[in-house]
Amino acid sequence: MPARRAHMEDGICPVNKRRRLALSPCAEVYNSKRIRSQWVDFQSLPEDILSRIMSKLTLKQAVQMSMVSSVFRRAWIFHPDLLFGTEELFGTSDRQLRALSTNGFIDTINFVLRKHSGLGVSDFGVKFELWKEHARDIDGWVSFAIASKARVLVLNFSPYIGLRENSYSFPCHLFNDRNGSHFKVLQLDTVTFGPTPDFCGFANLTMLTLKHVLVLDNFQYFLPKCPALEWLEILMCSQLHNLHVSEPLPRLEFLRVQGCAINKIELHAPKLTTFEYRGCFKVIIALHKCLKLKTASIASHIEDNLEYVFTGLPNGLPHVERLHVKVFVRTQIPGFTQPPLKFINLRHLIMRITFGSAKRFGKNAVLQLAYLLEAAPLLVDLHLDMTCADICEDPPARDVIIHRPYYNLKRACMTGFNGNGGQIALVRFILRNAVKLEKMTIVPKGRRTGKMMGEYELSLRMIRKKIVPKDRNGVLVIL
Amino acid sequence: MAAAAAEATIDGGGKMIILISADGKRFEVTEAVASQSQLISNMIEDDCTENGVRLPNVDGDILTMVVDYCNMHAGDAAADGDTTKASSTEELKKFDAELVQALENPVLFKLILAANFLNIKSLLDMTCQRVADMMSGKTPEQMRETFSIENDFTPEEEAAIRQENAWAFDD
Repeated sequence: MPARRAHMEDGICPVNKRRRLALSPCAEVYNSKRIRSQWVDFQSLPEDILSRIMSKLTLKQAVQMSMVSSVFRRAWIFHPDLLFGTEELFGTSDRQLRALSTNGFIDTINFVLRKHSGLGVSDFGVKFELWKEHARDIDGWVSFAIASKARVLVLNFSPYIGLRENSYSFPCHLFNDRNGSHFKVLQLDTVTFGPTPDFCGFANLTMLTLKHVLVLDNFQYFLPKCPALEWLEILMCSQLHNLHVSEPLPRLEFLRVQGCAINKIELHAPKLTTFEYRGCFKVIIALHKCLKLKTASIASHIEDNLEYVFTGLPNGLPHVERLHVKVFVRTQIPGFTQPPLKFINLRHLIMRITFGSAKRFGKNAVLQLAYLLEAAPLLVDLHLDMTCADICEDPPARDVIIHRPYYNLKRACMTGFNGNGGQIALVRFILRNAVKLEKMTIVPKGRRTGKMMGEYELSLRMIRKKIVPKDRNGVLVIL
Repeated sequence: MAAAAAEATIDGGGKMIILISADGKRFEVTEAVASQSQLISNMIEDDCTENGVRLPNVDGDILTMVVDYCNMHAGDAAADGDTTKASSTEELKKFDAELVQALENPVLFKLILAANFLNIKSLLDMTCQRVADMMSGKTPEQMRETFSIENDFTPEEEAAIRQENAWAFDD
């Protein structure tokens, strides 16, 4: 028995070796009659097929199978997905247990990696609360991922509790031009990432996600060193103030920036098609060089800054045809004048608007949205999803807005209609000026939940009284 | 049945080739259908399929399943971008599930060996997945029962393995 174990640890398993010889394809052809007529069972499957079956189990299940018989003893050591988290290792996501067993967690990973063949690894991931002090072990795991040519590397050491100086630093020093080229996907959470200007980058990386990552300088030099990058997500990286990369990012198709205190986003990404931003509206978005950028989503929850939509977006996103905006409006835009800039390609606009408390509510806070038609002259679809606190806002003054015909708008939809004066004025403006309108849908508030029937009834009454008479072309649909 | 299916999928596969099973059953299929087997695809490239391809280690009943599978999936590679594909994907899934669901273990293993020998990756993946699904959630003891596997460990060895991999057994 000790002799056999020694063999196994050398990576040679006598039982499997014999089996493999007997069933090599050649042997199968010539010994076919024997194989054909014999009872084929699990243990007569070749080693590589056994590994293939094992790879479809979780790592834990595959290791459990090592108890079944000597044939299964080491069948798990080619397992392609080495994902270590509390659920994978401890079968629970209980935090109490996690706090108690950090050392056990680390030891288990080290044990598994010592036994694993290091071959055939596809995904390598660790999701556990770990810190700088565990760097020696983590560096070892990253080295394993490099040596085993893993395609996916995930280091998630959340929860992030703001102690940045204690975060683990991504070991850029372990990489060189050759060994980093196997990575296709890199996801870092609660890790410090500080590549030096001469860091080699990842030649074949297609997806990069950074969450709660303290990004040190040189990010602008790092990104061009990932020339295959297609998907970039930067989430809650509060220290990244600038995403300005002057060199082209030739393959980038998707960019998401959320919750970062970022001042400027300027990229030259000729294949970028989708951009999603959520955060502060002080950001300067300069994606005008991204000629294929057709879809964008811009959201801010707390700022009173509708003006940004009119002044900050058109020049930075000139090619966008489909725009989602989530905005909080408390007052009307100062001056309430004509929008100075145009969305020259915008066809579809969805806006989710939350209006603030009535006290500081500008009189034309709702009606000012009519200027979207002026700002986006080619607009075909307009969907306004409103959350208005005030249900009895007075109608705006009569001549506050300039009427003129718009020829492109075909479909308009207003959800969250509660019959306030601003909404009625806006719908009437659209009915009057969008001369090619085919459908104007109004969804009164409270319809779906069945609650607040009073409000719903009131809205319907307002629609019948104030809007239906203006529907000269019969385009109105009430849901 | 297999031959009828082959006729139904004439899709520019052009030349027909004949596959001959261990027990002498002959299956006529288009090159496009047969090429899903990397082994046969290589033989077609090397021009050695003229007199039929003998597969002396694949039984007729197993080869029937393989040919049915290949006929069913012949469109996969060819019809990329085809708008009708979405609906047929559902059909294929159903066909695949029914193909492996009812098989007795020895037949399933023979199908795996055939898929491996003929080098048909999708069929190999699907059949291996079926075995993995059967294994999933089973204890080692249940595994042995399900697949008639003899336990060749001594109790001491078994205890040692359990201890060594304690993390995987501590539920």
